Amino acid sequence: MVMHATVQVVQGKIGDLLVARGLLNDEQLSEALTLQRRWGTRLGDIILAKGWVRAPDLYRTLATHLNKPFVDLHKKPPEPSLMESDDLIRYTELLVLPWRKEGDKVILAIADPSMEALEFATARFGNNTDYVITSKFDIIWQVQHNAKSYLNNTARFALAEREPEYSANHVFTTMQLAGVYLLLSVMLLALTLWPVDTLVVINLLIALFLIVNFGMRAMLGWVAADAHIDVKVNDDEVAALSDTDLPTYTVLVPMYKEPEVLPIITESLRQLDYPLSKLDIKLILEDDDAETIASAKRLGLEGIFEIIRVPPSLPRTKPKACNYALQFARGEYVTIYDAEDRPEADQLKKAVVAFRKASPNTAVIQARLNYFNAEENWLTRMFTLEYSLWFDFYLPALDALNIPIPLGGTSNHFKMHVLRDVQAWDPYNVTEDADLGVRFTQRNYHVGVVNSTTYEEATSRVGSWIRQRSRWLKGYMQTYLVHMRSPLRLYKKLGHVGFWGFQFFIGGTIVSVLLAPWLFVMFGFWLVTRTHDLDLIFPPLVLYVSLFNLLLGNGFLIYLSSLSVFKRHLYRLIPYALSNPIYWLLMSWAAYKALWQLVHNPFYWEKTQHGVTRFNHEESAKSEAALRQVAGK
Amino acid sequence: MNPSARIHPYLLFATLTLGFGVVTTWLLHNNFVNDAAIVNWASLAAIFDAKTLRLENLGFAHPHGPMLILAPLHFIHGIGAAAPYIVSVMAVAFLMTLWNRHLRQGDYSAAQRALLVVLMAAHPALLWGATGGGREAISLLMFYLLYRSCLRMVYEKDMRSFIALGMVLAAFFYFDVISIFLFLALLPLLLVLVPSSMMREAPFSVYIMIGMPLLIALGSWIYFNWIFYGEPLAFINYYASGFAGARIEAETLPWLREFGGQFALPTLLGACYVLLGYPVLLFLMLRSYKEGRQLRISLVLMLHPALAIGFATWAYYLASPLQLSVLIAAGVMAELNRIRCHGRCMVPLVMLLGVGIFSSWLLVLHDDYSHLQPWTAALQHQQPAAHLGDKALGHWLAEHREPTLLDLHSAHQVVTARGDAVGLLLPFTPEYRLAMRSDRPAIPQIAVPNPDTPAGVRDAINVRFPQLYESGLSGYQRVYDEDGWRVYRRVH
Repeated sequence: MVMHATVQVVQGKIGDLLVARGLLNDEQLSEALTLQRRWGTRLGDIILAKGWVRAPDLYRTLATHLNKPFVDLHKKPPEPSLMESDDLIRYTELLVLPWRKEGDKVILAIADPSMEALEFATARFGNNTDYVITSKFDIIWQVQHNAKSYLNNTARFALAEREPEYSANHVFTTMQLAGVYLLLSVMLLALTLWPVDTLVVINLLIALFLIVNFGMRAMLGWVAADAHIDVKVNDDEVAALSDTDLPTYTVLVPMYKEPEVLPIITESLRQLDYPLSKLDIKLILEDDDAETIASAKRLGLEGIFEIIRVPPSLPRTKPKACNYALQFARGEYVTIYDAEDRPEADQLKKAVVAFRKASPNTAVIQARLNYFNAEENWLTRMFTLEYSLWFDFYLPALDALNIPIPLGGTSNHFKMHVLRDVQAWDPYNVTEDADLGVRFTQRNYHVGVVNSTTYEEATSRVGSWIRQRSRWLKGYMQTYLVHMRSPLRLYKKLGHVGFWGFQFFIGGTIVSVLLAPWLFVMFGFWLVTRTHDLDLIFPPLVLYVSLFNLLLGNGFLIYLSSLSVFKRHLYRLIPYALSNPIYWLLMSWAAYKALWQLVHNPFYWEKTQHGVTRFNHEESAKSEAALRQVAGK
Repeated sequence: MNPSARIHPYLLFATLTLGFGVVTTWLLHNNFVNDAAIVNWASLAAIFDAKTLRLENLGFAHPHGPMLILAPLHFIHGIGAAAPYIVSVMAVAFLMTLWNRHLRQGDYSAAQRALLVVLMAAHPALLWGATGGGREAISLLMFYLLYRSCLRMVYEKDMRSFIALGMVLAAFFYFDVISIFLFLALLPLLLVLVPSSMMREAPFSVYIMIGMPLLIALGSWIYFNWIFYGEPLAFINYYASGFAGARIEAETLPWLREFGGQFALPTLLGACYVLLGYPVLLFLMLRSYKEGRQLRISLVLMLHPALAIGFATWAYYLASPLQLSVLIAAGVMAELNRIRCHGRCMVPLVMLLGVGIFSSWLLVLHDDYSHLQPWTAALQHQQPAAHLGDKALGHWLAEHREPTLLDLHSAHQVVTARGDAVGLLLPFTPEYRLAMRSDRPAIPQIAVPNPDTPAGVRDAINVRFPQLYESGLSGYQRVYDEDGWRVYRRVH
């Protein structure tokens, strides 16, 4: 008999069945029904999200409800030959996969027998299909198990194969190497033939670069200092959202050897003001990270959490892990949080409103990042000053001026289809987020910002800070090199403001931190010796610009840094801005480490160890609550 | 009345420029001379006509802003020493045009704005700023911006207001040393301007936010003095420094003779000057109170200059309280933008402005402490020409263009009268330094003032060669001797 797969409800209501089986009590059912009316999702999803019923029990009951057999895919795995690699994303999106073949009939294992899933099955396998019920976790596990290699390769090579011009898998192109060689040769020749004149020209170029760099940062500071630039989404707009209209939201949480922070991030995610059953949270763990995997299992997480195990392969980077997990994502929007992140509860809703208010070509909305342990020590204070300047000033100003925004590492909210369309993150770029922001702008997508904050743990140890910063700066170098492979194309795509904004914001950051120690040393040498030997290479014009940079430029940067915490009312940090020159030297140290690694180990991911803050949870919670109170809703 | 009716800004600017220009011409015709204008113009000519253009040749005894703003006019042939007056006229005309624009945003009708502009233009503070050729014109503009920033701080409480206030104070420093006293006077008043929660939580941080740009500017100045002159505080210690203010003339100035070194009494008197010159402030306070608006801005506007007068008198900087109280005119202008005064409200406003103008004129004309007598005198009738000796030497040097050793600090008027500084061996030139180190300088010509005059006694050439004016130098013959100046030429 030929059977067409259709949904036929045979036995009662699923809620009643669960109660009848003693899996759910009446109060829980009542609450689940209330939530179903409010959220507009399936009852089963709500029950799973609340963790009231174990997934196998729920799906067994669903099978009874639909009068279909329940299959444990671990015991009775699907036939691998039936699975098509092109359909893998659809399997995980629709929670259906071909299980077995009985004669001509294809039996599907399905966790959510929706019309869309059944239509997909019909389109792929014809009318002669039937289905069995299974758990969504089994489907995800089987897809991972059977297509590990394919999914992994896609995560690693999709961008490099489809859009090689944007992949950082080659650090330098031949043209770039030739250009650097030519430039160095000309410089050496000039230094040999006209040493003083050449040094004057080099000096002048450095001085002019720095003055423009200061000028740009001053402009960004001024633009962002206007109170009206801040509020993108207000509380009324969030309150006006209807939960039933909210889309499914995927949250990616890449982790590596961080079992101790797992309970913190899961708790933070539970606190999100978003219908739980519309959350699709992927805890992305490395397959060889037994500790964190064991910790996740021990926690017995609810149904909104799914564990994605990334097979070990190179490059071992966060973007590769995210690319891998993205293939299992079901949301209309997707965001990333780091393991130690504590997003403001309404962040997802604010992102939804921001997307709805933004132009249709908006691909990503960046939320702000800040630290809950700002007052732990000098380093965390300086880091907070810097982060506040970056996220509360520079990024909103870049947004206002339409300059490409280098996205921050977490809390960037994407439209799923656009992210997939651009081949997601570059697994070879160690600041994949910054690179992605520039790629979006080049493809005429808009990158916006939203006034919601995620609180993170500031690195409180110098060694760890240097490691983290060297990765960021190496990533900036990669991003700069990738997008400057064809400067003319970049110019055409970004326009003058975008192009020069990119040069000074990305390129300028790198050059200024690399130059700083040399300029400091030269100044210190002159200060100590009061030599006149340097007069020759500092003719009046160069001297004036250099003096301007030294005194007013640096002074202004310190000033801007001191003001950075204004919007967060962290006034007590302001005096610490005066110690910025020491912090800049630390940055330079990290920059040279980054440069070294760029040549010798370009794709190495310097892991930042989280969960080391001496701020205990109580202090952190207090600090965070205080920050939220003042952060200006 | 139509608030949106437009007074064309270019037309207003041109009219004001013309009006102030006519008054300035009248003043110059009556032999009014502003020494500060001459110093600026001569310093500028000196560095532009030197063999190598170096900004440090301007010296650091006076803020560079007024000189740099003059720089473009140096290249316009025929303007000459009138340039500082042109800048003053245009700066105040610009300020009033800007004010008209802000008034329009405050819903004042075109007629009301025109009336207010005319009234303020007739105020001696603005008229002096526009026609005096000194730094007051830019200072008025700066003070106006300073109060706009204060207003923003009270109403918007955003970061831009803090940046604006900090930056205005820093920029002010490059134009007028008085900014330091205004900053000091503002410090206690920030208690009422800045949101109280901020002041409670981190007062030091508030002061950093507002004061850091000025401190950076001041620190830069100290650094420049150190690297170029080897003495960080040279700009204060130098006898004729603008930063030292009127200290050197303290004995001859009635205000400093009576109150120099004191704080409380000059502050109190300063408040009286403020109220006498600007009774409209009381009205503005009353109006604010009635409208439930912020009283504190008006209060700050009244107390701020008074405190600054106190500080500046204590430091022997201020020649006369009017030197500072004239700036309040710009503060009142900023305050009028805030107070929406329409209909019947305009009557007392106009009347009090009129009373203020009248009393201010009385003050500048009859106050014993006023430093504006030369200006008011020239407004009324022709004055005897000043600096005749300097001018005569300048004209003579214009005809006898041999390289001449000259101490610029006592010869600003000479350089101005000469029209340029080409070939002059001024203190920043290597030839000057070499000559001053030598017992027998080998330069073609030396000009030296009579050491018995106040300027001559401090002339560096006189100090180095005390007998030069009287007896000349071996190998040199006197070729000029008129009105307190002698020139010696080397005999080949």
